[in-house]
Amino acid sequence: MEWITYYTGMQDLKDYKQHGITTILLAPESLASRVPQLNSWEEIETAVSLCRRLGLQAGIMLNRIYFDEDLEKLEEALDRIEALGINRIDYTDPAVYMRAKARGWQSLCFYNPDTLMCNTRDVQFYLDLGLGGVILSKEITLMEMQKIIASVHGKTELILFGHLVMAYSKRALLSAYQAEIQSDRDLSGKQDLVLIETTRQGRMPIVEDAAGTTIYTDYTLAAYAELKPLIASGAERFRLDNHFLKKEEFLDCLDGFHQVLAGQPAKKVMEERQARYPHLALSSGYMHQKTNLVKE
Amino acid sequence: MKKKIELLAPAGDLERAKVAIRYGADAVYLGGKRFSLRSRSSNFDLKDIREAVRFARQYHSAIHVTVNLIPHDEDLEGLREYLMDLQEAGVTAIIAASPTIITEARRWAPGLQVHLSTQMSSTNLECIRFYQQMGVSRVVLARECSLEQIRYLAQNSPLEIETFIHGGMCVNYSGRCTLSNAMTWRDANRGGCAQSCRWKYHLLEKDERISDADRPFSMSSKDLLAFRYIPEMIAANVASLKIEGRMKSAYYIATVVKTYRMLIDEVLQHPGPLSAQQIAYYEKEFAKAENRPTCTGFLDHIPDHRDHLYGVNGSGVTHDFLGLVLDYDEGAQQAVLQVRNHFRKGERLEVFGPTLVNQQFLADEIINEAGEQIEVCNKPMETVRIRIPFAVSAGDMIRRGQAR
Repeated sequence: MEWITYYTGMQDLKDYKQHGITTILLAPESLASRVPQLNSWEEIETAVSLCRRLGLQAGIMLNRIYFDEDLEKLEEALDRIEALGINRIDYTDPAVYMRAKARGWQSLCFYNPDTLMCNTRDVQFYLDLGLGGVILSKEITLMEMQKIIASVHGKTELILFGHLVMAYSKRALLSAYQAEIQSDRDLSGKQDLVLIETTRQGRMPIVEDAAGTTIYTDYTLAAYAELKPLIASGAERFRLDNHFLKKEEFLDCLDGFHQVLAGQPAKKVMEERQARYPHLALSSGYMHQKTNLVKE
Repeated sequence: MKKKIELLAPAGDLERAKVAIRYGADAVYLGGKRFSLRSRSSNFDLKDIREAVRFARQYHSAIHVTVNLIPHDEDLEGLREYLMDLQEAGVTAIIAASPTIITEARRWAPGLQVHLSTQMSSTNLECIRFYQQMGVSRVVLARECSLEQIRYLAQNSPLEIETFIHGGMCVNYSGRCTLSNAMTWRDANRGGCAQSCRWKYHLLEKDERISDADRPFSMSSKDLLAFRYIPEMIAANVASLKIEGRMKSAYYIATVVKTYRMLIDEVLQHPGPLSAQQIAYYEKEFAKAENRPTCTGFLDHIPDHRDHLYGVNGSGVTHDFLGLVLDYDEGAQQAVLQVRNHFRKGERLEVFGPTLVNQQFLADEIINEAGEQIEVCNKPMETVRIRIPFAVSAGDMIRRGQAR
C-alpha cells in the first residue's frame, strides 16, 4: 500500500516516514503549483537524498499547464529528474507525457488532471499509454471510484484527505482585487487567506502564486469511512494533501487511516478528529454526493 | 490557395442556428440533448440537427455538435449510436474532450471531424501533437493563450487551430473548475455550471476581513471582445474564430455574427491592421448587442483589475431589439413585422439584416392585425405592418438605439 503526501520541509520527512507515508512529492519552482510549497532544485536534491536514506519514494510535481516558452525549462527538469533517480512524475499537461515518452519514461508518469478522470474508459485510455498511474477525480462518488478501480488494468490513485483544489486560474485574482480597492497589501504567496461567500460561512483557502490563483474547498476531505471499501475494490495508492494543515494535525489525521486499517470504527476515528479540529471541517466530500444537478 | 478563415457561431436552438447562418456564420456549433455542456441552452434533438445541417448546406455553412461533457460511466450509454446518428445527419464535426468520446467517434463515425474542446486547456505544441495521435483534427485553444502564443501555435501546429474571439470567459482554466460542484452540487463539466465565480465573496487574512464591504471580492471576468486582433489572427493562419454564447438570443447572434462577417470580409479584401476609424465603427456595432463590459482577455496581457467585474455583473445594452421582419411588400412599402419589444409611432428605428447594413427610418405608420392604425406596439409576438421606405427582407431585424 502506498501513502503519498507533499514535501513540507526537511524537518518533516522523518515524521512522515514514522507515520506511514511512503512517497513524498516535491514541487520545483516555476514548474509546479497547487502544493504546500515550491522548492529550488538544490532543496529538491537534498530532500530526495534524505528520502532515500529514510526509505521514502520521491516524486516530482510537474503539474502546471505549460506554454511553449515553458517547455525548455520542462526539458531541463527532466534532465535533473534523470540525474536524481526520481520514482514518479505527476503531470496535468500532456506535454509532460510527450517529453517523458521521448525518453522512454511513460511508466514514471502519473496523470492527475484534477477533474477529468471520471469514468472507467477514460482512465483505461491513459493507463494504456503505459503510464505509472492515473489519479481519479475527487469529484466522483465512492461507488464510481470502486467501479473504476475494479474495472481498469493498471494503477489508480485516490485522494483521501485534504482541502480539495476547486479551481485554478492563470489570473492573479488577489492582486487584481487589491488594485481594484486600491490596497497596497501584497497577498502573493500568502497561505492564510480565505474566501467566504457572502451568504455562507465556509472558509475557502485561496492562494496566489506565479502560476496564478488556486481556490480550495471550505472543508477537508477525510475519507476514513471509505478507506476499507476502496481497498476491498483493489485500491492500493492513497494521496493525503497536507496543504494548510499544521504538521501535528496532519499526522494525527494520517494516523486515523492506519487506525481504521487496524480495526477501529471509521465513524469513531472521524468523530474524534472532528471534535479535535473543528476548524478543518472534516467531511466525506463528494464520496456520497453526486454533482449532477442542473437548473430546471 | 489559403483556406478561408471560419467564423464559428453558437446556437441554442434551430431558430438561432438559422439566424447565425443567414447572418454570415461559416459554421454553427450546437449541443445535442445528451453529451453536451450548457444544459440550459435549449439543446437540439436529432430532427433539429438534421434540419440545421440541411439549412446550413444551402448557405455552404457547416454544423459542429458539442459532445463535450466530461462523462461519468453512467453518461456513456448510447454514445456510439449517437455519434453514428450525427454522422448520418451530415454533421461536419464534433467538439469533444473525453478520450473515450474521441476514440469512439474515430472508430464508429469516421466521417465526423473531431475538434478538441477548450475544456482540455491546450496551450502548447506538444499537447497538440498528443491529441493529434488521438485522432483529433482541430484544437480549440485555451482562452489563456496570448495573441503571440496563438500566432505561434497556428503557424506551427500540425492541426487546425480554433480560438475564441468573443463572449463570456471562464475566469478559471476551463474544465478544471468545480466551484459550481462544491457550491450548488451542479457539475460544470456536465452542463450544470452555476457561475459561482461571479458571486460575491469576503476575503480574509486569518480572521481579519480585508475585502471592501461595499466592493466585495469576485472572480467575474469581463467578456471577451477580440475584434481588433482579427487581422493578426487571419495572417497567422488560425482556422476558426469562435463566438461564445449558446444561451444568447437570436438578436445577439445576428448582431455579433453580422459584425464579424463584415469585419472579416473587409480584412480579407484589405489585409493589414484596422484603422482608428474602423475600430471605432466596429466597436459601436458590437455594442448594439447585449454584452457584459468587455476586455481583450489574455490576448495582450494577463487580465488585471480592469478586466474584472466587482460591482454589477449586468449587461450593457445600447440597443433594443424591436421586431423581426417576416415579409415585405415593395408596392406598398410595408414590412410585416413580428413585434418583440415596445416601440411607438414616430420613433427613429434601424434595420439590419444578412445583406442590409444599418438603414434607418421613421416609424410613421403602423397597422395592427385588425387593419387599424396604432400609436404603440406593446404586445410581444403581435404581427403588425409598418411602413419602411426601402426594401427589407424576411429575417431582417429592427432595433432602436437607447438614449445614453
